[in-house]
This record gives sequence, C-alpha cells and structure tokens, in this order.
Amino acid sequence: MELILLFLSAVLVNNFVLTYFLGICPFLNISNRLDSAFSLGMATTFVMTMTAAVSWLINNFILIPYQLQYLEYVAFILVIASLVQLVEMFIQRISPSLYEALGIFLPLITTNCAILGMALFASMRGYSFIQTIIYGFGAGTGFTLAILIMAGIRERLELADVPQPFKGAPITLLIAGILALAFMGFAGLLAV
Amino acid sequence: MDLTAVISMAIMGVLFAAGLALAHQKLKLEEDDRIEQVDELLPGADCGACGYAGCEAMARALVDGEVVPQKCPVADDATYQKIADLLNLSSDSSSSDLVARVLCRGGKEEAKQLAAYRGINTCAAANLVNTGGKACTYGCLGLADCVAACKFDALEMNDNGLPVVNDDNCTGCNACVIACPRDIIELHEREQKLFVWCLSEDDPATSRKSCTVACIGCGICAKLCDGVEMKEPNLAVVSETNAPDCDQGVEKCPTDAIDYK
Repeated sequence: MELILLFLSAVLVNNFVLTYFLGICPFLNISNRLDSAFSLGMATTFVMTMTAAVSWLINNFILIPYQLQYLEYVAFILVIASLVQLVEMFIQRISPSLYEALGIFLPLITTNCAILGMALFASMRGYSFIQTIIYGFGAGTGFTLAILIMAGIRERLELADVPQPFKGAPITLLIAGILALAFMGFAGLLAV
Repeated sequence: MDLTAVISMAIMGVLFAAGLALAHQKLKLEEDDRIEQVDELLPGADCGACGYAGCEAMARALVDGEVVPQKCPVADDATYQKIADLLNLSSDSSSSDLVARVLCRGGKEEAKQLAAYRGINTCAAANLVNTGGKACTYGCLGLADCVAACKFDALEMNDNGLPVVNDDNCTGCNACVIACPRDIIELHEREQKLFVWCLSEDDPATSRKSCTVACIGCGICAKLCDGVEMKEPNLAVVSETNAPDCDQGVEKCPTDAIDYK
C-alpha cells in the first residue's frame, strides 16, 4: 500500500514536470506528436527506473560506506550517461525509425534534469531499494503522462485557430502553465 | 579519503566503460558488417530509384536478400558483379539497360507560341498557369525541371529550348520521368533508335497549327512498317522495343515526327 502511494505521489502529486518543473526541455520539444512523445516517455521511464536501481546500489555500497556522498552528483551523472548510451544502442538496433524520430533528444535524456533530480531526491529522502525503484518508475510514468497530455493537446491545437501572436512557443508555454495549475489539484489527494 | 574518492570513481568509470564496450560489441555483432561494405559499393547518390529510402536502405535489403543488385538502375555491371561476389549471389540476371528519351521535338523554332510565360521558372509552375505558353498542350515546356532533377549530368537544354539526353551519363534512374509535368520523358531500351517524337493527341488540324514536327495521325508509318501502330486515333507510336527499322515510314512522314535518334 505504501508503495502504491509512493508511486501515485510520484506520478500525480509530485509530478516531475508539472510540479517540480524538471525536464521541461524534452517536455516542450518532443510533445508535438503523440507517438514519438510516447516513445520518448518510455525511454525516459526505462532510464529513470534503471538509474534509480543502480544509483541506489552505488549510493549505499560505495558512497555512504566511504563517506563520499559529496560525489553523488558525479556518480549519478556517470550512471545516467552510461544507461542512456545503452538505451540508445538498443533503440538504434531495435527500431531505426524510432531512433530517427527521437533524434538528438535521445542522447539528451542524459541531461534531462528530471532523472538526476529523481536520483538525488531518492538518496536525500533515504528510500529503501524497493522504494527507490518504485519512485524512479513513478517519476518516469509521471513524465510520460505529462508529455502525453501535452502532445494530445498540441495535436488538437494544430487544427485550432490560435491568434497569431500566440502561435508556436507562447501557446505551448501557456498550456504547460495551465496543466501545472490543473496538477496542483492533486496536491490534496495524498499526504506523501 | 581523497584517494578513495579517486579510486572509487576510477573503478566506476572503468566498469561502466567496460559494460558499454561489451554492450556495443554485443549489439554491433548483430549488425551485418556486409551492409557497410555493400553501401560503399553502391553509387551513393541516394537517388531512391530502387524504391528504397537511400543507398544504405538498399544495402540492408541486399544483404537481407530481399532484392537483387540490378534493382539499382544507377550502378554499372562491374558494381553489380562486386556486390554479387560479396554476397555470393549468382550474377547472371543482367540488367535491362534503360535510358531516358524526351518524346518532343517541338522547340522554340518548331512549336507555335501562344503566350509568353513569366512566372516561377519551372515546368511544374508553368503547367499550372493555363498549361504554359505553347499552343501544344502535350509538348515540352522548356523550363528544365528534368535537368534540375538529373543527378548525373545526363540532361541539358539545347539552344532550341529542348532537353537533350547524354546517353553516356544517363543511368535510367527515372528522376526526370517523375519531374516532367507533361510526362514526355520515358525510359526506353538503349538500343532502340526509332521513335515517334511526339505525344500530341490533338486532331490533325490543331496539331499542324501548333507545331511543325507534330504527329498528325495520318497513319502512313503504321501502314508501312511492322512494329509501328496507331496508339490513339491521332497518334502513332513505336510499339516494338526491339528496335524495328522503318526507313520508308521515316521518309514518307509528312512532319518528320517519326525518326531515328
């Protein structure tokens, strides 16, 4: 039960994109088509879950025993970069077309601050191994949810009569703000 | 303490690097390295004439055995042979050697001009504006869309405003055929010399008025020669590809529409 709450909290209440405003760059850039948004969300979720597991192991078996916590940024970035490389190789092999569609945003998952943020939050809050994995998975799912909602809205928006000055980036930023407001409504849902 | 930091980071770095290198090896091995070799042998123009997205996609299909090297209309026999050797294919299926033929000889001198077109300088655009300036609505617009489409320098415009095919450079890649809004460029066997150099289906009176070298559909060539027939009531066409000769028809043709290359 506690794990389910933790998961829901990461997805809805403390959504990384819409509450913490982390990972805004891919959120705004890969959200113009639903299918590529979903693929990027999946890739990010995978990287987040794996990062959560590996960074917990590193944190608890290397950094804490040797009192090297001040190195956690470096260590976590190392983990994330390696995992993204792995995912990149995988996607390139399994689906070249998806690889083309994601383009530069695939390697840029490395610099998606939502992932580093997730790893740092998890170590800061002293989650257990299982908790950390659930948290990472929830954070990834939350990111996917946010980017999917955004992509859905933007696909419909292409047919809408947007006033000239609001076309493109302005309307996208406005939507992001309204979405964030809407997600505030989840704040009372859980007390985690 | 500092030393542990250095050592632990170094170990982590080396471990991750090793893991990635291993994964790279594992994932790379699945990729057939012949794809790269075949890709290098292909002409590399990425013209898409084979129907694939580019030479690399074609190389993949070749290695997968989905397609024969001759599907690439651009490469020469030596290249087919090299690819076939590389992939252990039998190379006896020789390619049909097609080249582009512009089936219009109504240039500035022959074709009557009804109006002067002054707009975007492409045939595609001119064709949209009341079918261009010439009286003949079948003929060459002369704005060189085909020349622009050719990646192999096989087409150029002559002084008479007609595109000329340089057979040596033409690879039969079909790009000009697609580019021509009038569909007057066709691919034919390199050996074929005899053509009716007109595609006008207008009635004889209109054809005569609009162009001095139009086929007026008199049918004399079709009567005199095998392999030439009336495709439309007003248009003859050389139907046999294995190069029939028709000296009598060429001589008797009132407008010289049928002729050897």
